[in-house]
Amino acid sequence: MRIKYFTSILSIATLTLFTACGGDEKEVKLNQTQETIELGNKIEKLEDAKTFDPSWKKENVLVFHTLGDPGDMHPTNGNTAQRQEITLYTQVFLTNTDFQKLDLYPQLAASKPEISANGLEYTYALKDYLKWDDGSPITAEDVAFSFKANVCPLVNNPHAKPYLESIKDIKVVSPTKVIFIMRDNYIQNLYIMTDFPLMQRAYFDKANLLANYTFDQFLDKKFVADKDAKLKSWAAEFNSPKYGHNPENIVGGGPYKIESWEEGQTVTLVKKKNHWTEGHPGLFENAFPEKIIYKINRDLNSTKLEFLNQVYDGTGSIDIKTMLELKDDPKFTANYNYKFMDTYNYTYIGMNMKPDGVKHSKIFTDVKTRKAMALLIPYNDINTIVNKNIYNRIASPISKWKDDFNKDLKLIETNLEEAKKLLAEAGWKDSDGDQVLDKMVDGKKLDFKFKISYMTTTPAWETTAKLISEFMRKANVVAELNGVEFGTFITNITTHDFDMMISTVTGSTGPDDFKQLWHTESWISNGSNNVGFGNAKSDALIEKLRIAPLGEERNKLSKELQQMIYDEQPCIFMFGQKRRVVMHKRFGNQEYYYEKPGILLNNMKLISASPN
Amino acid sequence: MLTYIGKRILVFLPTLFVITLLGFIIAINAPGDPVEKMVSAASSSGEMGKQSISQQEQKLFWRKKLGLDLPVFYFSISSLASPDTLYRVYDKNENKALNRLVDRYGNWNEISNYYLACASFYNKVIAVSPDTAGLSEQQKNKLYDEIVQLKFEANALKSAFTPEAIDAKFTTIKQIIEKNSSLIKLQNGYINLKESYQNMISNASVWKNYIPAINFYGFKNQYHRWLFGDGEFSEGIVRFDFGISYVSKQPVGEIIKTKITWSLFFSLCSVFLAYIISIPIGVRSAQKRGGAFDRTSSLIIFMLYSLPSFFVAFLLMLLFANPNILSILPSSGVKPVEGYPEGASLLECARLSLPYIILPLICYTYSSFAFLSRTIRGSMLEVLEKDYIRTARAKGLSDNKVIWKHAFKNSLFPLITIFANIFPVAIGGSVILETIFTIPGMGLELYNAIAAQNYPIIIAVMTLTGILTLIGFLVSDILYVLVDPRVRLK
Repeated sequence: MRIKYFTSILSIATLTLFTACGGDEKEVKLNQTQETIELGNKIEKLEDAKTFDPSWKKENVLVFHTLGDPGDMHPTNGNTAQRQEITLYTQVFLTNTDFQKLDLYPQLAASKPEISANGLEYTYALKDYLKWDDGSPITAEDVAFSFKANVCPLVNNPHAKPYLESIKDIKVVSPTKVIFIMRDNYIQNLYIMTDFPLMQRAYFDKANLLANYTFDQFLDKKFVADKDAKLKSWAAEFNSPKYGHNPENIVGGGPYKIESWEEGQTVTLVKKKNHWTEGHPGLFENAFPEKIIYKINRDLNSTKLEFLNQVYDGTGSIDIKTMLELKDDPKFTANYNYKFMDTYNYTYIGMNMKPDGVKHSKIFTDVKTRKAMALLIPYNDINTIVNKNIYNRIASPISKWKDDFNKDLKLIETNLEEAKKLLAEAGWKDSDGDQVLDKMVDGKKLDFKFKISYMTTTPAWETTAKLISEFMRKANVVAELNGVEFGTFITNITTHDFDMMISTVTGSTGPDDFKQLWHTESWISNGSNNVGFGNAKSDALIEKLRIAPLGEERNKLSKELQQMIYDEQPCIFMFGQKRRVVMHKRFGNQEYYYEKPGILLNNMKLISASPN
Repeated sequence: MLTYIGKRILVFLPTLFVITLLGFIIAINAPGDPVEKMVSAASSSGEMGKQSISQQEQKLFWRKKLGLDLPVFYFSISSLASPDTLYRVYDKNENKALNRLVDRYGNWNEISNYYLACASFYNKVIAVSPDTAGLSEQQKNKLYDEIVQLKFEANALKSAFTPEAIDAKFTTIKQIIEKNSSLIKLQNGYINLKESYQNMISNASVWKNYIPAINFYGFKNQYHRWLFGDGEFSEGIVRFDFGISYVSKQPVGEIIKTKITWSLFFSLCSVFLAYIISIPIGVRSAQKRGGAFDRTSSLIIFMLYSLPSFFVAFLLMLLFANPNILSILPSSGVKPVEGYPEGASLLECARLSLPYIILPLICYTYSSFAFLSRTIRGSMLEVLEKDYIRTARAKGLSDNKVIWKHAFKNSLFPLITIFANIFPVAIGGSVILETIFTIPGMGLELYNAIAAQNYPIIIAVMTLTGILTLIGFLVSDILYVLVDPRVRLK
């Protein structure tokens, strides 16, 4: 009897707990509408909140949610997305990306460089008022040192070195003038600089040792760097983890510095006092919050609760499901603005156009079959179930925000009948009545059966693969699911050991170098052209695009290449991804960008808490 | 006792050696190449024929720095067919292909010649510059496409090992060369290549695969370097240098030092709490066997045991960190966002961290109640049946004295055995709870290391876990003696 009574109590308690999760139904009055001021479609600016709610924190400390630790904040050796984001506030660059205009932003440079007639010399005039924390000016010598340190073979930055091979030399003409001499004409010559923060030569190389070496020397195969005792000693000190992990040793020219770093927990940036940026406002020079704290949290439920509790002021890395749940909660919308911002990233399905015919069958070698595959993708189902109708369809690898976007390319819609027709034209038919298409290839009967590979670390792709497989079965095509671990997936696609795969590409503002993804050299050398696209014409076009300056001519060539890719269908371009960006209404001056991280925290101004 | 302890410590050494060796072998044979991962983050720009010079140099440099250019162990046991220098072929696909060819044909000399012929032919192909004078635009494009295909086949041939795959490539290469007169200069190279391939097949000595051979490498091997260092980049684990993390390039020791604190804290606290809660419950359940308390506590404890920790974590967060219900505890982290105030005392820090610790500590602890309390209960029941307990009651001793002074002490053995397992668990942490509550512990670090094939951390944690396990067993042996004087250590 006692137990029955106790069990009843327990059941009621449990039921209450679960039903209590529905949330407070009481309506919360919004104190502003989310009005958007569009500025040329390149950014989205929101109006400031009209009143300061009493529940809002009054401290000028911005707490930003992030998914991971920056790992290594070394100015050359670190390589994580979080590190890149933090360096926007703690470092200075020769040029940066102008998030507002989606162009170059001269930071140390006074303006965009003067380019010589042969396109190989880039002369930068520098601003003379930028200073290091010890008060000494940032000069051309620091610029030259920064890039040379990156190129030094003994510096632990293997991920970055290939990008700097195009620099032949850097000439310091005067403290405020520097010339970059490039090895060849290359469209990315202007944009390489945006990835490399400037370092103070006097801090990192007191003896000015690197001045004794040239770029050519560092890139020369015969130069045995680790036999050079002085260079080795310098590199050992330079590579020391303290420059990447100890806040007091992580230095830079930006308006913020790292005050503390609790690994796996928080990274706290504090505004520098009497910094040169105070008299020179700008996109990256503003420093309105006194502190910016990156708080790490990977758990979706915990993140959601912390937003409801107003622990965070913003995020650029929240997942779709949590974002959609939050935006339906009045407690959230009363306190936060949010935006789904287009990005340069997209998901696609790649097909192996040139398999060996032994390990992988020659299924996708003809264009009609590939086009039929594009018609057999259930785009709407995928967008509804996986993407919650947030992402946009795309037909091209180039973002619609770029000047060379080919808007004439039509979206491919799901069409089972048209797909069946194309497959029949390609010679596929069910000759043996087993409900699977087949055809004769190289004298042997080939069934239309293949594996669709995806990374198991991305659950959304498993769902996508399942939806695709189910739909394709209607056309008597068998797509078997093949989930693989990340490392194995990358190895497989680079060695062309796949039939069909789901993957994603990340992009940025700068002009695209099509060679990596579309040139035949990249296919042959197991580069990023996993699908085997390309021929003489496309390669010639890509070579022209590598050196064509920005403008109408380049746009025309790019559109032509996009049309070629579209006509060949080596990839089925699915969706352009959207970044979910959130910012608390207690901060004004909110601008949302297409370039990552989607919002610049240094520009967030705490609105006044005083009554009007 | 001291002699016993000394002997046990001596036994640690070979046991540790075996543990570390196993961990080392597993890590080395895991798929993936950490150097490729490090260098390919910038990924290839598609410069065919030459990886960019700096990429090649970087790979060689990092292989040397990490000791990956050395043989794995002091010796290897293979077959007469297998060469002792195959570890020098760094490309994993090519290495795998050569291994398979050795298995299939067993004649290393011929296989080596064939491999060199492949490389030589590939170099000729990528250097080819056909004469296109007199060709139309269409013909030039067609020739270009054929050359692209030829380059691809020549490159892929180096990693092919099945006869079907190799034959398919030879067929394609032959067709392309014969179809294009401007590629006729490659004919000799192709013939040499084909001959070396035929040579390999016709001079196969598969029997060599059945004759074992031991290859000795001396002290220049990865394991020795890992143990004792190389005097240049590494000091070796005998000097407590576990190397550097492949991801952050920080010394592994530093990483473990920063991450182990919270894992240890939660493990030890949860053990302490589990013991102080479970012992009275188990003892009282045994005392009042079959009674209301016994049945009720068993029901509750088993219900808790059946709930997975991530689910309980979620429920607790929804209840205590939810502004719609109770918002009295935070749901992530171990301290306030702003950190501890400057100059704060340990007590002040503990006070500030306390709200953050409560929910994860509950999740760490509750699942142990069932096992511990039932173990104690069972052990106590056995002891309570003994004659000396009956005698003690007959002497007129109070129930409490009988239970706690006589019975409890004799029922401690199972608890001590369980206690020994705490040590290795303390370092492992809990991946799930550390992720949910954002606790900077070893569990998540280890999980990330496994996902990133960060071998130094994996092997370091395995080694430390092994050491702690051995220490745990030693401690439990000593505790047995202290608890029961009848136990003798031999």
